[in-house]
Amino acid sequence: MNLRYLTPVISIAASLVFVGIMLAVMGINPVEAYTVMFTRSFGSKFGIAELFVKTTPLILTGLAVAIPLRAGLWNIGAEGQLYMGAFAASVVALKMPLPDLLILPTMFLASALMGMAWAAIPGFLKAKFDLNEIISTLLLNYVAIHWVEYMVYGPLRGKEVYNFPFSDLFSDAATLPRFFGTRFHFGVFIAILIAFIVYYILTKTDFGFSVRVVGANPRAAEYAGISRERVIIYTMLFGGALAGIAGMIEVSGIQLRLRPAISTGYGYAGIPVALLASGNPILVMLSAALFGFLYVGGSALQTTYSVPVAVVYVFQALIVLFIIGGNSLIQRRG
Amino acid sequence: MKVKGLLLVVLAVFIAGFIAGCAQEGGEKQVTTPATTPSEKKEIKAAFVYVSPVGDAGWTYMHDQGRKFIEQKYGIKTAYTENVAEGGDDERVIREYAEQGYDVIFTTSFGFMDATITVAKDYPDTIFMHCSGYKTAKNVGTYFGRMYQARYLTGIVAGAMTKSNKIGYVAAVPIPEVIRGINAFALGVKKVNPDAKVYVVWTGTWYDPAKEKEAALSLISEGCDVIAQHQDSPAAQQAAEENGAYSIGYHSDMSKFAPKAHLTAAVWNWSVIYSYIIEEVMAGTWKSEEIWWGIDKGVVGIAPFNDAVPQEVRDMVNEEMQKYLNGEVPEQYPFVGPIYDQNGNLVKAEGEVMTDEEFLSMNFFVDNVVGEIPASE
Amino acid sequence: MRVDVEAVITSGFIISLLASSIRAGTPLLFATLGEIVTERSGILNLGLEGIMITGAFTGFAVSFLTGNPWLGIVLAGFAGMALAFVHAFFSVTLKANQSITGLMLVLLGLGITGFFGRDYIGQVATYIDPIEIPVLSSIPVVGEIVFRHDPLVYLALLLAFVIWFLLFRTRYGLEIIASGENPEAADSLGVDVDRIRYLSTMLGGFLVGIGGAYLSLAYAKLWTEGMTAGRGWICLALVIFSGWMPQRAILGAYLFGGLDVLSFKLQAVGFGVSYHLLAMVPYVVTIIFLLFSVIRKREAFGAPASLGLPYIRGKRY
Repeated sequence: MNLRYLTPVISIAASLVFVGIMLAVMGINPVEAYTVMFTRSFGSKFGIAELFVKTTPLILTGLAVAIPLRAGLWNIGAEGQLYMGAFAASVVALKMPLPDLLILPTMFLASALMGMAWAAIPGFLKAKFDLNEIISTLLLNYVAIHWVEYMVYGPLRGKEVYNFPFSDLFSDAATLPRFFGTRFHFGVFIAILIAFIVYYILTKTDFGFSVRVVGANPRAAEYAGISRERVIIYTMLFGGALAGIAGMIEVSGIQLRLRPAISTGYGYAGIPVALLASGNPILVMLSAALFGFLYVGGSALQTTYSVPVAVVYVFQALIVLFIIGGNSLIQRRG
Repeated sequence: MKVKGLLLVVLAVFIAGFIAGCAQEGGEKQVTTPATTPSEKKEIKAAFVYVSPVGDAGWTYMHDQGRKFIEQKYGIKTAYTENVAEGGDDERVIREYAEQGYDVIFTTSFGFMDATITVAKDYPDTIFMHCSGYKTAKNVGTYFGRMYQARYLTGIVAGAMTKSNKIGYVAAVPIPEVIRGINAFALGVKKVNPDAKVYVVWTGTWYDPAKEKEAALSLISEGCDVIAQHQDSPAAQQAAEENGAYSIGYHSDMSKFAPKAHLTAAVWNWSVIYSYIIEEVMAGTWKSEEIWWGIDKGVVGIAPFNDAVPQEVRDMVNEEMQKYLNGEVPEQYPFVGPIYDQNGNLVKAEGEVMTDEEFLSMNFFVDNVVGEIPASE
Repeated sequence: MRVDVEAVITSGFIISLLASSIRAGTPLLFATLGEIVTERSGILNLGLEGIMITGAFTGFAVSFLTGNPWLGIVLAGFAGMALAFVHAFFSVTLKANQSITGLMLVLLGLGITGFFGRDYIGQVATYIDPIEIPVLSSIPVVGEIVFRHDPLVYLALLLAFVIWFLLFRTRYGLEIIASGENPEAADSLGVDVDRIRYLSTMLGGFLVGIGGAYLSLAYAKLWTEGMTAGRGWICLALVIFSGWMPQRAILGAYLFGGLDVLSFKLQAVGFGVSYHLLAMVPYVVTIIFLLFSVIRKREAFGAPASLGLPYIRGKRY
């Protein structure tokens, strides 16, 4: 076992120790606290189901960041693409008279297309005008979030919600099936399947090759006759579609209606998820699982010890910082 | 690839955790089983699920004050989770409390309704109390306070104290509870000052003090000389204080933030309801009910008057308050006809009383309110 | 609803809108100036929201404990600097990904302030009040708009020019810009790129922290969790809007501040607007503005060429 396998262990251990000290200061036995985090996440079918529930959107937003990142683009806008996807799916679920069997597939398509459309704006601006995509995707997040808010306070506000800012509940035909009496839903499989498809596309197809070339060396891509602009737009569209699907899965698998705040920052969390996996779609699933665990375990800490949510934030931040720090150390040595 | 190594380690930790977790769960069960021997005094554990951080200084903060109160008074164990996302994380959090054996679980936001009902089905022996909703079950009750009664009383103060006959109302988001508060307040204003109007500005926020202050300042610069508010932070009070206007607080006595401006406030006292429920649970007499208490029970009330409020205004308020306390008026008072909406349509004819059902979905302004309910069709 | 245009103007609508814009824009201005300094050196700090909230809390707590709001402002700056130091350490020394570290600062800032801030809820500290500048404040219209603010408003304006001077008229500024544009070249000319980036990031954090403290000590005058309410993110857009130019940040910050309060002003004069739709306006405006800028004159709006890239001697990116 050489150093490069040891370093990640050390960085995780270091974050555990650091957070442990924090917990101890608050009068909480850190060993006990960590046991609680694990048992509540892994110790029952509900805990495990919740892990999947939290991991699923993170896989998709992680991929939504990872794919453009392969081509050297920063998609900070997965959050907004997710919202727009959820919006499109909700419109289909609530307003379109379709045969039951067609509803879910149509929602799926609509969310992917809407996410794409939303990502097309920064993609186009980047490709044509070299407009900084970090900022345009970030700005569009706010537009999307306010748009969804406007819709649930207005046109999509339900008839049976006593004028609260919610849509009506989706019909059963617009709801992803759930299993085991938990919130484990069909979307989990969709996300995993998509991750493998993305892996295949990025590694085994010409498109994947051109993405990697553009990301690694734009000049070489030019010589090889690969259109950088096209790759920029396509990767953004691809990423946007996946984030949009994440939105559809959230509303039709978990929320079962449209609400003002449908994402707890999944789009932003997708960024560390993608980076931790260095953009590898298979590894994205693992790093998404790590973040899913931080969410579920963090909330277990809250329910058990009534620690303020602030502690959970610090906990998550420190773990990521330690891992990133450790990661950079290894990469520099290697 | 080095990162792969890192993630493999994560995976290994996960698997280890999984195994440890399963082992732990099995062990735990065996330990806890004999602990449930019947004892003469039942140990109660209560859990609270909050929608925003306790530090919001308003809604959740007031609920948490209630939690602390019952913890002290009954010596029971309480737990809370804050900032729980409605529709996303609520179900897990509620289920965890049920799983951990909490006897009564309070869910303090309207948006927790679906999740509360869902989890309650799986835990028939656990008591669930949902604040401000309308769905109940055998083991799910609801509770809320008739805040509009206190709003009405503060409206009387505002109507009596305004000189410009323009009263500003910094509103949060257009949901029935907020609209109900505005209307009750406006009816109070109308009661003593039919010429005065209530000007509504929506901020779309619950705790963005800078924006809320700015909204209050906008109203003041348009000539409003009394400012009421719905948000969690006392920023609107400060705006009034700094500009020589009067203000009406909400949630708690906000006079500390605006000693000169703050006339009174419509305040919550959740400990009344929480104490009642806990006592019922302890006595084993709890049954599902829809608690919607008003000023007579002390769940809502008004803060002490500012010295600037003259005796005759105090008398007017007390006279109206007595009506509630003596049961002279229905609980729905002041929503007793005739009530007109902004377009002059008669909503409730003379003597007709609005129903609780109509309260829950209220979506119109009474005739002395100036402003629109956004995005309503 | 019909609006009487004349009544709107005579009622002081414009005056109060402009005065509010300046007030609402000031915290944005501090933070934007800070981020401009940071980004000019090549470091992208996405964690403004976290640094601002830390500044807001530190300022409030210090003023509450000592009764001195100015000490609060200064220490808020240092608290911001401390968080920025974490960012610099990861970005410069560890060469880690700057986007992640920045995003984690947001969580860290919200977390730390939420944890320690609970005891300060509902407290009253000592605040910084508006002053009326003699003579000038009595000028009609202009006096009301410009000369009746608290001292920090003028400090922010002054800082914009100081930073402009620092960046474009001093050797230190030259080194910052060189580190952001072409660290290899700067290095070969003897500039200590790492040191410059550390200093710029920390100076930036200092200003962002003050921006946060402005919210809790001069603007809203209280402390609540999460009271920055997304202003840190807006400032990231503002940096681009201003083209990394301190003097343009003034205009941008006041414009964004104005858009923030426009909805209230319109509602207060009886103009029915959807605040949801209006809330989108600043973001849409920025995108459109950026678009026009890049189409018209690309180079003037270019980001520092090495923004967000770590610099490792001898290794080209």
